[in-house]
Amino acid sequence: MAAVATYVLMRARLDAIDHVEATAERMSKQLVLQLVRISTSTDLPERFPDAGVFDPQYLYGLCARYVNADGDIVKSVCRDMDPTARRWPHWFESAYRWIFGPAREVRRTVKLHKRQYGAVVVAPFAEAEIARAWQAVHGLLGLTALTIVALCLMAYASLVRMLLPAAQIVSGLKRIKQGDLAYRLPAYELVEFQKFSSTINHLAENLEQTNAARRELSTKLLNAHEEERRYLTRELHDEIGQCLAGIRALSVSIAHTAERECPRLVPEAEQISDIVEHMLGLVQNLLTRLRPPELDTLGLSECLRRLVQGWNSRSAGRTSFELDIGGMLDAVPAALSGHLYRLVQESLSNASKHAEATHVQTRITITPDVPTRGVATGRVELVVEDDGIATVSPAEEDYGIGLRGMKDRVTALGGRWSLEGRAPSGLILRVLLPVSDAPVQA
Amino acid sequence: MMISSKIRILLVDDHVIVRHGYRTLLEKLPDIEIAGEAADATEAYACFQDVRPDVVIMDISMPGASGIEAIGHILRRDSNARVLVFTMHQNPAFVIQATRAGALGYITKSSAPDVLIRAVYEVHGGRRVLSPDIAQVVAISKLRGEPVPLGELSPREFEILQLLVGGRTPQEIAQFLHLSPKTVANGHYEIKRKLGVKSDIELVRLALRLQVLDLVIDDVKL
Repeated sequence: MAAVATYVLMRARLDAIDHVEATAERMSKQLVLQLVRISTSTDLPERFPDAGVFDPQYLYGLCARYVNADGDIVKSVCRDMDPTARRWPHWFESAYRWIFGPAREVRRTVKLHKRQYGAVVVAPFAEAEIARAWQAVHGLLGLTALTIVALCLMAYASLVRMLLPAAQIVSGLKRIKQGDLAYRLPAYELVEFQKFSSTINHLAENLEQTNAARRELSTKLLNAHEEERRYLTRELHDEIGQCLAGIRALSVSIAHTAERECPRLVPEAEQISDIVEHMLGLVQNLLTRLRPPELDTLGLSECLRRLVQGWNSRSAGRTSFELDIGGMLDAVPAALSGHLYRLVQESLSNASKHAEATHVQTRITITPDVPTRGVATGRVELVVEDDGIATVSPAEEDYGIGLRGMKDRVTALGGRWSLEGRAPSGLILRVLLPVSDAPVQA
Repeated sequence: MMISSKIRILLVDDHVIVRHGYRTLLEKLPDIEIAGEAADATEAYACFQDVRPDVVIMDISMPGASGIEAIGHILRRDSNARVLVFTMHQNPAFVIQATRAGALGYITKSSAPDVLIRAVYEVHGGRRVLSPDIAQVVAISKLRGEPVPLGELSPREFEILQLLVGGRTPQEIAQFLHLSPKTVANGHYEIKRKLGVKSDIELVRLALRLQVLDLVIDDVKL
């Protein structure tokens, strides 16, 4: 822009000089012509120099004078510029003057037949020159500025259009970060963005596959765990417990005989009884912790009712526990019934430990899908709601072992989990688990 | 066949060790004899027809047909048959099932052997009987939201409560349960503390309301 301005200024200056020179040239030629006319007596010598030559009409912004051979000014005409044309800024004037210095006058001698009659001197008004320069620069600068603005706008628009995929990629990454691993970025025309997009898609796919594999593994582990507990429960209940009962009967029998025949043995027999009784108690506690054996004989609904009843009787009226069961809950596969039992057990235990609630409502509903090829699938929804003291749901980092274990279990089983605050106070836990008929192998 | 004054028992259990232990114990008693043993429901029914026992001691979870089915089967054959369930299960749902099928008694295997022996006599006399742990569970399930902390009592305390309300003196209870009078007195105090009652009168009134003595099982709401 500065280059353009300089160029325009230079041209304006040269034009101004040209103009002055051309005017001087023209006037001197006209005066020579008049001299010729006087010498041929077609003009009067008194009329020299001719006023028509000094017509102000042709002298805009200039001063012209005629100087005779003795150096006297015979005629002088000036025409200043139109004062309304003084519209340039002050800085421009000082800059112009600084760059180009004062205006130069041009002198042309008026000669005929080797005789010098005088000279025409034309001097420009500096203001007129500046005005012309300003006009040129001003017009050009305006146009240039307009062009630059237009160019900038166009560049901006095309940049925005070109960067649109970047914004899309960023928002896609955000979605992937939030766990939507199935999201895929679209294809782009620009090769760089296309490479970006396909690499990100590839990463997301890898992550999705890894996650699926991990989930499958945790489900297998959990189910194996549950199956192992089931096995231990059966052994404890059906074998160990029974053997202990048998030993106990025998020890009492020994005590009875000893009373008659060898009273010294009675305390020892009774000690055996006590030990066996203690062991039976341990077995009972282990059974409760492992898995109620009734899950397999009486079914999940009955066990849940017992569980809730147990909490009601322990709480002695401080908290009332309620249970609603919807659907054929006992039809769920054995491993899942174990998981559900544990989830309810854990949530009731949590509610009773932390909530200080007066009412804890547990709803468990099974909704079957339309059976296809005899495979029963569906989903189970578990909702545990308390009116306790909590006002906001705890942050995930603050989960205790209970909540963390529950959430891990739900995630591993491919279910959904939410724990929210409830109005006016309390918490609502929602768990949605898929039911599938796939055989569970330990 | 000689007419015997002994109580003749059919022992049904799929666990040989249990059968053996209780056979040894019961046969020590002068007025009891084991008339037969069976390891499953089918065998039990066949044996019942063969030996016509006075009391059937029946486990309910066995391979094949369950003990509940065997009870129904036997009762249909002989409506006077006296069946005492003897099982590991502590769930009141089983008590209801067994009672509906016609069993008179329900004793858990975690009860002291003396509890079974007493129950044999009760059932032989045609009376209903529940082991204390089961009686407690049934009583709790009958609370229907009443805020009584029955679950706080240990099975032993519940048993003492039943006997107290039945009008026995602490000395009698001590003798009956093979406990020292001091243990019974402590139990008595603990029961009142846990149930939040101040006097014995209040305790009896509460116990009567909750029917801890005569638990009618059929109307247990679960």
